[in-house]
Amino acid sequence: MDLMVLRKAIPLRSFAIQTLRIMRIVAVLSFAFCMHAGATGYSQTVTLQLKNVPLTTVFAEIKNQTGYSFVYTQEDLQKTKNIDIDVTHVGIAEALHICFLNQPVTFTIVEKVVVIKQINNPSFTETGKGPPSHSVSGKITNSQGEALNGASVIIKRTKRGTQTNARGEFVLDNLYPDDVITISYTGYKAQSVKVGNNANLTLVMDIATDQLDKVVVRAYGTTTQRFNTGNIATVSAEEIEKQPVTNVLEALVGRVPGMVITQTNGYASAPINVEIRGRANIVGMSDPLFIVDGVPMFLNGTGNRTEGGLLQPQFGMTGPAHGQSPLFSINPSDIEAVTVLKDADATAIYGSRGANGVVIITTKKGKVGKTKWDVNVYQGYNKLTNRYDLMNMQQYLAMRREAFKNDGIQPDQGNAYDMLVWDTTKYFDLQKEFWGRLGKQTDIETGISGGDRLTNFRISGGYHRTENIFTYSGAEQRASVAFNLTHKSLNQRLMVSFSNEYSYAQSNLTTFNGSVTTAPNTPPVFDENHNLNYRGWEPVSYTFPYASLLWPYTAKTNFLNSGLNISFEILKGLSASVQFGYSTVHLKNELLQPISSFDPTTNPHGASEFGNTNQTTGIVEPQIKYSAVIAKGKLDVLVGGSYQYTTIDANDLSGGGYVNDNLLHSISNAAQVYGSDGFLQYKYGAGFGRLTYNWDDKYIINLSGRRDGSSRFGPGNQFGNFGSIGGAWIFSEEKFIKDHVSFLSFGKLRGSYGLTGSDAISDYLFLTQWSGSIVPPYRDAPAYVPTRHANPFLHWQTNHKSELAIELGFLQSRLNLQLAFYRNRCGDQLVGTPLASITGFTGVTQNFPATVQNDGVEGTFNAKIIDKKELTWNFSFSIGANHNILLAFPNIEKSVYFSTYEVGKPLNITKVLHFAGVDPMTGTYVMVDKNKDGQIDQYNDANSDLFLKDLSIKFDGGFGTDFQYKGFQVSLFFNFRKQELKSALFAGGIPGMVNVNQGVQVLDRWQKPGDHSKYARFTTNYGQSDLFFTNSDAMYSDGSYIRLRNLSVSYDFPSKWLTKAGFQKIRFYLRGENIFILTKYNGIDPDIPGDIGVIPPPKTLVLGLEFTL
Amino acid sequence: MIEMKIILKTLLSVLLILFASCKKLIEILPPANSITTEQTFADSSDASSAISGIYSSMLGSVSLNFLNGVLTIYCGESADELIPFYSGGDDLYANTLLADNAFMLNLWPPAYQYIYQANGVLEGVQASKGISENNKKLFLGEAKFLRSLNYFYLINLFGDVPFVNTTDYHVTSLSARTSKDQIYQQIISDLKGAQSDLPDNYELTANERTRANRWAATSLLARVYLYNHKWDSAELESSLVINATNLFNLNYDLNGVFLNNASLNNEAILQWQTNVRSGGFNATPEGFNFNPNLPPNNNPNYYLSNQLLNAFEPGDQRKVYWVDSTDYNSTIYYYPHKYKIGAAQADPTATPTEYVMVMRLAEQYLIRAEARARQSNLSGALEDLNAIRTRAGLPSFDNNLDQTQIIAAVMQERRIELFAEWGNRWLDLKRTGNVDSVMSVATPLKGQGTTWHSYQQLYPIPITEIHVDPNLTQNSGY
Repeated sequence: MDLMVLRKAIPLRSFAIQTLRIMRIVAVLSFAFCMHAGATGYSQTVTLQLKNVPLTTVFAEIKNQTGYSFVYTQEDLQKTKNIDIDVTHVGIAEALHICFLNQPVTFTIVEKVVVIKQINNPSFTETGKGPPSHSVSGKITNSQGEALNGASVIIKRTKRGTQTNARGEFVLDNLYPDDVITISYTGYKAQSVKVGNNANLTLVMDIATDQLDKVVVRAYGTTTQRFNTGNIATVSAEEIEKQPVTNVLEALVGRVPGMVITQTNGYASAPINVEIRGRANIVGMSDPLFIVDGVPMFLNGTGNRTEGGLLQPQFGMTGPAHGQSPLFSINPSDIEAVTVLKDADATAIYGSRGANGVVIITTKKGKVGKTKWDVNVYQGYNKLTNRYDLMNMQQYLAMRREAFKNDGIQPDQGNAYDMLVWDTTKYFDLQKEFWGRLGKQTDIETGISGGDRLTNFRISGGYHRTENIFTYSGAEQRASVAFNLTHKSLNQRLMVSFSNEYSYAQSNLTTFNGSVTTAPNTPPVFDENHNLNYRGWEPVSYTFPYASLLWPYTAKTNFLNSGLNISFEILKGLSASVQFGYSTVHLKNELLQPISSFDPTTNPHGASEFGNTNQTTGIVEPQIKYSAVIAKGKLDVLVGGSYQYTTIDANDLSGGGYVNDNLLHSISNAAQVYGSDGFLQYKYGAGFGRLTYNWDDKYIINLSGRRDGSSRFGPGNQFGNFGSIGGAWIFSEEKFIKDHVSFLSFGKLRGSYGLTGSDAISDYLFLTQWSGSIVPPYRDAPAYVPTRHANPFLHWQTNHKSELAIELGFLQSRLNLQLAFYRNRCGDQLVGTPLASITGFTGVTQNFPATVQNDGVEGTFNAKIIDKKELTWNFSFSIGANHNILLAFPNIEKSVYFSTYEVGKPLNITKVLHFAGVDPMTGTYVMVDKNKDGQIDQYNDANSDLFLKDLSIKFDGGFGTDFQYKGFQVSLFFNFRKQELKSALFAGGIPGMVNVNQGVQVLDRWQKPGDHSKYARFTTNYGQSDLFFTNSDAMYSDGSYIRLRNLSVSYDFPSKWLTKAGFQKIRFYLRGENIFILTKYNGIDPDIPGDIGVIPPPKTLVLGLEFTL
Repeated sequence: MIEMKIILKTLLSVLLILFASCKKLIEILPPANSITTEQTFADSSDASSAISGIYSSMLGSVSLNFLNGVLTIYCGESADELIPFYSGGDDLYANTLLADNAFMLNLWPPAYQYIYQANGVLEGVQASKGISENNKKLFLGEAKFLRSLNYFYLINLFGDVPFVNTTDYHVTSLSARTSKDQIYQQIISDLKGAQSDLPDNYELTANERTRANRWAATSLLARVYLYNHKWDSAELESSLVINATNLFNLNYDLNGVFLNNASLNNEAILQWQTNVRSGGFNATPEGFNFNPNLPPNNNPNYYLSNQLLNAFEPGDQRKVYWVDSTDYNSTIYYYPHKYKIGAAQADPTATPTEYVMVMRLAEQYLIRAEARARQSNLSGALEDLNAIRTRAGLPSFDNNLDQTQIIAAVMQERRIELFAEWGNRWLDLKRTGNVDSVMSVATPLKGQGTTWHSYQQLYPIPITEIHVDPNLTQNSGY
C-alpha cells in the first residue's frame, strides 16, 4: 500500500482540517526547537509514584525529570480524572499512556513537546457503528525523533495493518474512531493507541529495556529474543567493559553456553581456542566463522589451526606466542556486542561457513544526543597465578644419588654432570627467574560520539600495553582508532553507514626454549661478564637452552577493517542495500639470532628471519529486503548475494652467516639468503534467501536457503546447497496461558533443523603442486618438490543441525530461563587425515566418511533479585554440556584411525594402560594385564591391554552476580569446567634422570623391597615399566576448575555533583582477571595442561578511572 | 498490485544474475609459487628440476639427514664403532631401542618421502609428451637409482618393508610389508635399467661427481649382488667400475679421499654436493658432527670405540690421516677425521672443498676381493685386498692365506677402510651373520648396563606408522 494512493481518497474538507492541524504542529515544533536548545541533562525515562493527583501534577513531574513540555488548554483537562501511577524507569510514552487511560483526552509527542488534545466527538462510538470510514495518517519516531522505518501498525480489531515507510509514516483507512492500533518495532516497546477522531498521529516509541525486546543482531539483520527462532547469544559491551582483557575472546569465557574458550598460553597476543558445541571434526579444531562489521575474518588454512587455533594468517614464523590471535588487533572497548549464532536456523544463511557456529562482532555506533566525550584509563599488574612445588637442592641430589644406586651405575662426568660438574651448593629458582616478573598492564581509551536524527558518529582511539610475567619478554602493544558514521537523507529513504577500525599491534617477545624443571642447580643464565653462560653448562653446553633468550622477536601488525552499507527504500516495504567490506592485515615479523647468543667456541654466525604477510579480503553483498503486513502477520523476505575474495601473499627471508651482529637487520648483509613465499587466493560466491513470517506475534516461521560456490574445490565440486527451517510458538500469548498462568510473563518454544557446510581447508588442495620454494637448489639448478597429495575429489562438508528450546520468563521477566537441546551431525568431513609416511606425506585433506555427533543441553538463567531504583542485584548462570561421539565410521579397522578412535565413543579419547600400582618387590610400575596373557601390550593390536580414557570437556559454563547500590557497583564472574587432563607429572622426564627436577609428590617412592609407594624407584633412564607408566592413566588428572574470571568494583559519582562540574559520568574502578582458581589439577593452570615451557596465563588487577563530558 | 510485480521482478532478476555469474566469480588464479604435475613434466628443464628436488631433499636443510650423515652415526652407534659423548639415555647406543623411539623418525619417513619423489618423477616422465626420448631415459634412470638407494638402506635397517611404487595414496596408504628378497629383485631390475640408460661420464655435472650416472648404478648393483651372495655378478659389476681407469683411481693422498675436486680425487663415484645453505655451511654432516669444537668446549660429540681403535694394524696410515684426537678434561678422545671441516671451521662465505662421499672406488675393490674369495679366486682376491692395504701403507698379504683367512681379512679391511662411513660396519655384521657373536660381546662393553638381544639387529618400525597403517606389522621383539 502506498501513501500517495491513499492521499487521493481523502476528501477536500478533511484536507483543510489537516492543513490547519499541520500548521498547528509546525507552530508547536518551532516552539519545541527553542525548548530543546535549553533542555539538557535530562533522563529519557521517568519514575513516578503518585496517588490520586491531577494530570497537571504528573505533567510537572515528567517535565522535571525529562525536560519534556506539555501543550494544553485548561478546557482540555476539564473533564479529566485524578490518577494513580507507580512506574520506575519507564519511557515517557509508556508513562503517558497510563495517565491517559480512560481519559477523554489523548496526546501526541512532537520533538520534546507533548500535545494534549480532547478526543473529539465521543458520541460517535456510542451511536452504533456504520461502516468504518475513518482514516488516519501517522508518524512513528523514537524518543530521539528518529523516524522508524518498517514499524508495523496493526489494527487490533482486524489483526491487519500496515507498516511505516522510511520517514516513519503510515496511513490506515477503514477505521472506527474507537479502533486501537498496535505499533511494534524491533528493539522498542510495543504500544497501543486509540485512534479517536485524529487524522494525524505522531507516536513516540521507547527503547525496550526488557531483555526480551532488546535488539539482537542476527545474520543479515536484527531481531529480538522474543521473536527469534534460532539460538543466538549476545554478550554486550557492558559485560565486556567490566573486564580488563586484551582480547575480546577472553571476555566471553563462560558467558555463552556451549562456547568453550581456552587460552593457549599467557601471552596477551596469543591464539585462543574457540569451540562451539563440541568438536565436530575428526582432526583439528573446529573454529567458528568470525564476522566483524560484516567482513569475515580470514583464518589461514587448517594446518596451523591444530596448533594454536585462530591464527593470524601468517607465513613462516609463528613466534614465541605460537601465533597471534586475529582478535588481538581489535580493541575490545570498540565492541558494542558479540553475537554468537549456534543452531542451523541462526547460521544456515551463512551457508558454507557456518558449520562450526558464527561469531558476529559489531562495533559501537554514535547515538542521537548531545556530543559526548568518554575517557577511560587504567593501570594494573600481572602476576604468576600459581607455582609448581618442586624439589629443593638437597631433595634433588638425594634423588639422583638414589637413582644411580638403584641402577647400579657409577656417576661420571658424562651421566652425572649435574652432580659432579655443576655447583651443587647453588640453588636457582627457575620459576622466579623466568616467570617472576610483575607484569604491567596499561590501557587508555577515549571516544567522541553524538549525532542527530539524520547523522550520527563515533570516533575513538585506544592504546593498550601488556608486559608479561615472562622476565625476558618485551611488551605487547596495540594502538587503535575506530570511526563510525551513519547518515540518512532528508527524506530518510537513503541511508549510508560506514565503519572503520584501524589498529597497529606490536609484540616484542622472546622464546623460552628452556624448562623450569631442569636441575635446581642449573647454572645461571648469564655468567659474571653478562654473557650467556655456555661455559657453566659444560660438559653439555650443546644442550644450553637459553640462547633464544637473546633472540628478539618482533611482530608488527597493521589491521584495517572497513564496512560500508548503502541502503535505499525503493517502495514502501521494499529496500535494496549493498554492503561493502574490506579488510587488510599486514604482518611483519622478524627474528634475530645474534652471534653473541651462541656458544663462542662453535665459531658461530648470526642469523635472521624476516616475514611479511599481506592479506586482503573484500566482500560485496547486495541485498533486497521486502517486508509487508499480510493477513494477520508480518512477512520479511530477504534475497541477497555474497561475493568474497581473499588474497594472501607472503614471503619469508632467512639470512645466515652474519659475521657482525650490527648488520642482522639487513638481509643483504647475510652470507646466505634463503627465501620462500606463499600465495593464496580464495573466492567465494553465494546467493541466499530468507523468509520470516510472524503470525500475530504468536507463531513465527523462518526459512532460509543458500547456494554457495567456493574456489577451494576443484571443477565439478564447487557448489553446495544449504538451508534451514526454524519456528517458534510464543505460547504465553495464548489466551489460556494468559488467563490461567499469570506468573508466566513469557513463554516460547522454538525449534530448528538445517544444513550448514564448511570449506574450511587450505586453498588449492585439489591441485597437484610442485614447487621450487621448499628446498634449496641443487647444483645451482632449481629443485622442484611435490608439496602435498592433491585431492581432486574434495567437496563441501555438510552438517545437520537440529535444536529444540524453551524460553521462559516469570514475574514480569524478572526471572528468565532458557533451555536448549541440540544435536549436530557432521559427516563427509573435510579433514586433514593422517597417512602413513610410506605414502610420501604424512597426511592428506579429504572428505572423510566418518560421522561425528555432538548433542547436548545448554541452559541460561538470570534473575533480577532486587530491582529498585537505587538498589539492584542480579544473578546469572549459564552452562553447556556437550556429549560427543563418533557415530559412524565405515571400515574403521582398515583405516588410519583404527588405533585412535572407536565408533560410539567420543573423539577426545586416548587409549592408555591401566596403572595397577608399584610392585613392592622390584619398585617398578605394574600395569593391569587386561587380557591376562602374561605380558603388557601397549599397542592397539589383538593383544592390547589398553583402556579407553575420555578427555572430553563434560560441561563448561559460568555464573556471576552484579550488585549495585546508588553509585556502587560490584560484580563477580566465575567460570567453571569439568574435564580430565594430561597431568603435569614427569613433564621433563622421569624421577632420577639427569637434569630433570620433579614435583615433591614423587618423594613417595619405592626405596627397598617391601615398600608400598605411589611412585616407582628412582632411575636414571626409562625402563619398560616407566614407559608403560607414562602411557598409562596415571598420567591423567582431574582438570576441573572454578575460576574467578572477573572481579569489578566501581563507584559512580552521583549525578548532582557531576552536573555542577560539567560531567555526565565519573567512575572509579578496581577490576581483575583470573584472580584465583580452585582446582585439583597438579600443573600450574589447567588451560595449559602438561606443558612446562609455556608461560601460564597470569592474574591481572587494574585500577581505573572513567569519565564522560 | 503494480508494486508487487516490480518487487517480484527485482527479486527474480537479482537471483538470476547471482546464479549466472557464480561460476565465473569463484575462478582463481593458480598459485604463483608452484606448478602442477603436468606443467612439471611438460619439458626437460622442469623435469630435471624435479630430479634436483630429490637430491636437494636428501641433503636436507639441517646438518643431518637420512642419506646425509644419519646412517653413519646411527649405525655406528648401534654397532661397535661410535660412542656418543653424552651416552645417558641413548637407546641406539645401548642397543635398547623401543618402538616409540624418536631416532627412527629420521630414517623411515624421509626414506619414503624420497621414494615418493622418485615415483613422482617416474610417473611424470613416462606420461610426458614434451620430453625427448633421450632425456626420458636419463630422468628415469636417475629416479630408479635414487629409489633403489633408499630401498637398499630401508631393507638393511628394517628387514621387510612396504614396497611403494606409485604416488597414489589410495593405493599405498594401507600397504603391508613386502619381502626383502622381492624388493632386492626390484632394486636389481631398476639398477640394470639405470645402468643402461644413464651416461658413462660426468659431463652433465661439469665433471663433478654429484649426480648418479652409469657408474653409480653399477657400483650399487655390485654391492647389492654382494649382499645377495651373487658373487659372480658382484665381481662382474665391480670389475666394470675398477676397469674404468680413465675415471677412477685410488687416491694415494689419504687426506684427499673425501675432497670434491675430481682432478685430485678420482676415487669418488658419487658425492652429494654440500649444501652451503644448511647450518653447517661448507662442512659435510659427518665433518660437522665428528670434529669437536675449539677449546674449552672441545669435547667430541662422538668418539671411536677402543675395539675399533685396537683393530687398526700398527703403521696403518688411515689411523694417522682419518683419525684425530682431542684432549678434553685431561682425557684423550679419538674421533673420525675423514672429513676435516667441522663446526669450528665452518665458514658461511667459503666454497665447499669436501662433499659427502656416497660411493667410492675402494669399496668396489673390497667388493670384488670378497666376491673373488667366495668364488675361490684367492689370488684375485688378494690382489684387490692388497691394493687397499698398499694405499694404507700396510704390507701386502702373501699367497699362503686360505679362503677363510682371506674372507676374514677382507672383512677386517672393510671395517677399517669404511669405518664411520654409511654404517658399513653395522650392515656387514648383519649380512655376514656375525652380528650376534660380535654384539653380544660389544654391547655389555658399552657400559650402559645392557645386553645384546638378537632382535635389536633390525630397527623397530616407527610406532606412529604402525598406528596409521593397520596392515603394517612390527619387527618381532618390539
